[in-house]
Amino acid sequence: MIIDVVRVSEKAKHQLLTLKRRTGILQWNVLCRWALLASLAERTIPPHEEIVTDSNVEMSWKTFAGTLDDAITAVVRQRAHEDKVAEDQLPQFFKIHLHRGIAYLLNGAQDLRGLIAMASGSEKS
Amino acid sequence: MLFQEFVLHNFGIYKGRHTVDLTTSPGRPIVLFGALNGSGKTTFLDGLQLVLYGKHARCTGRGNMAYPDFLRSTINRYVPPQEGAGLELEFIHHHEGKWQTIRVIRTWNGRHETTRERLEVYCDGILDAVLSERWGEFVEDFIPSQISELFFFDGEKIEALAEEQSAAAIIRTGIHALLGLDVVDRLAADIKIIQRRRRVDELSREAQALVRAKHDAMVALSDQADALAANIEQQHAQVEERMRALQAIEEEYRQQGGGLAEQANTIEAQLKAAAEQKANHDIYLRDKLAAGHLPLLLVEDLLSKARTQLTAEINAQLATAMLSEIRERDAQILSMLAQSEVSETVRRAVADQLERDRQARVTATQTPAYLHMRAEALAPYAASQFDDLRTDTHEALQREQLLAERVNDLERTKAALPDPELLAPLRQRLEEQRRQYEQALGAVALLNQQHEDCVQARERADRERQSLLLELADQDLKDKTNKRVLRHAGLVEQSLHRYRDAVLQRNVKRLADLILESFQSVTRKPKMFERIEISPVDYRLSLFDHSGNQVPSHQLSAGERQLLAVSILWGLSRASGRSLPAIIDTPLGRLDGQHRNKLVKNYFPKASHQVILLSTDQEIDEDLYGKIKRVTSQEYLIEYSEEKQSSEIHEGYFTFDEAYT
Repeated sequence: MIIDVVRVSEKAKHQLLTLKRRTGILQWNVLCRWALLASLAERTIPPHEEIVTDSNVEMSWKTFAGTLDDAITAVVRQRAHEDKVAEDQLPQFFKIHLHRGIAYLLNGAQDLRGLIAMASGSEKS
Repeated sequence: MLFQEFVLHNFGIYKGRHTVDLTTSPGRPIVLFGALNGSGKTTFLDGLQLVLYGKHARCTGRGNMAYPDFLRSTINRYVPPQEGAGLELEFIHHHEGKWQTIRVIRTWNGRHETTRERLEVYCDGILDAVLSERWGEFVEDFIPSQISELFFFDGEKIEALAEEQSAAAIIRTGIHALLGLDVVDRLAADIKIIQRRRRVDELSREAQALVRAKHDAMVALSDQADALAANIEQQHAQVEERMRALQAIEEEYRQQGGGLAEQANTIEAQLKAAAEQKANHDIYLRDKLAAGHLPLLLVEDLLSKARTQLTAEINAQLATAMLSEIRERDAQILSMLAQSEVSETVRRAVADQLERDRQARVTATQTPAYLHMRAEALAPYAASQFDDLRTDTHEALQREQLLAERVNDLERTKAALPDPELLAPLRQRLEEQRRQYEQALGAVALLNQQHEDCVQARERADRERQSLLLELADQDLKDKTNKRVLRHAGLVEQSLHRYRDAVLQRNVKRLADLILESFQSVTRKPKMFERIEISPVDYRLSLFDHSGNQVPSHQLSAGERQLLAVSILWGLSRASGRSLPAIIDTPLGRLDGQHRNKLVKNYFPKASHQVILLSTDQEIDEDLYGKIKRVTSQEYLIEYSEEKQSSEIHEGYFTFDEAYT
């Protein structure tokens, strides 16, 4: 487990609400999973940023990762290793990837189909 | 015609069978019967008439008696009635150039309550069924019953004939029958009947009125049919107009999307189904795919590297765990080799090899570890699994697109649907137009039906009129025929009248002359009358003396009247020209000697070619008998026998013994 509780900023919350509306996906955890993985897929390193996770959206790691716990842990650590991020920087690393991912989704997915297309690499809508 | 034989059987006073030969020889025409009063002279005469004429015979003593009763009364009273009686007469008759022998046998008996007679007629000895059956008609050919009186007469009653009335009657009968005027009269009567019948068949005014009525009805129906036809024409135009209007509004309705509007419900349902399908698919995408492993595809390469790293980390752990063990074993192996006689070269080679192996393991232990995961943690994320997931997702997206397009299409179609409210007025107009069109069609159908009915009624009326006309034409023809027949009948009637008058005029004159001639030949006063006239109208006999004065018949004496009567009969029989036997009963009744002489001399031998005289001994007495004897063929004496309770007919005449003595 990389962090105990997953939290997002107020801004990210609003972005997630927009995504909820666009995709029909109502679970915060599913959208956050998508966001984190979308950011990790992007080879650039997210710029350092102080993010205040002050919104009321929060979930335990277990809720966040669900059945994908091992896979998510593996890819976060793999990417952290590649980006030479120290173990104690992982929560920060996680947070900035999560928030960058949310922003990515907001730009890349106008609806559920767009979201899915992002993952499958097939036709973009 | 000549009588040959006469048979009486139990007839009246004649008991048993009595056969009399009546044949005469030429020049001797008389058959003389002598009989005292009550011997059966008159019965004999009645028998002759009865055998010939049956119930039409004018027998004495029948009066108003019914024929069967009369027959019964004629049966001889001394024989049982069931034995019956009979009469037979045989005569010869000239028929179609040949002599025929006819025998008439009339028998009857009183066995039953009603006496029935039986008649048999033999022709030349053979029973003739037709002649027997219809003798009543045939006998008229032999001796017409109407004139039988002229030939069968009773001298005792003959005097009455001289009376004006009776004379007129007998002359009338004689003239009519003898001259065939009865035929003329019958013809005139028939014409009257024809005229009456024809007049009944007059053209019926009612029928003509009926024809007129039929004709009027036909004309009226014709007019009605024409009016209806015109109406139909008009109505057809209206129907076409309505049809055009309907087509126009239908076109408009179609253009306004009326057709689609009617599909709205279908499209709605399809859209609903498609949207539902799409929603279900979206749920699949959202809850199964998006919420599942799908996002891992984003980081497939990271995950792949992690899997390699994890294997390396696990290997390092193993190597670290095994390295000291391996060092010890390697040292043991090398020390063993040193103590053995293995060459230095081999020992060094093994030592190097072991050194290199250990070195590799050392290198492995030096692999950095950052995943810190269980060895099998990433096993479910093999590359093949991602390929499958990618394929599935691709298909799901394609399906999603199809569904989305379908929903989209249907939504567009639905959007294109016209507003039902907008169409409502148009639709109302359409329906109204359609209703009107159908009404017009119905009206035409009704009119057509009426027209057809009308035409049929007219044809029926026409047919009826035609048949009436034919009937009338028929009647008309009949009418014309009737008129013609009536006209001709009138002409014929007139001709008959003229003919009758002419014939009468002529014959009445001739008859009058014959009567005068007869009278003069038997009277002792031939100059008594100058001439005799018979009125052709009422057949009255008028006698005129030489001074031209008319002598009333009642001024004549009884004897003279008898002579006149005989003359009348003789004249008539001469005028008739028929050769029939004459039968004279009591011929000389009240006559004086001179007259008797004259009759015997001039009348009896000439009265006919066969003369049957039924006389008493006081009439044809010894003197006269001597005079008549020359011309008699047969002589008979009828005598009543107390013994036999019957009259007997014997040959021979009275014997005048006393006179001779």
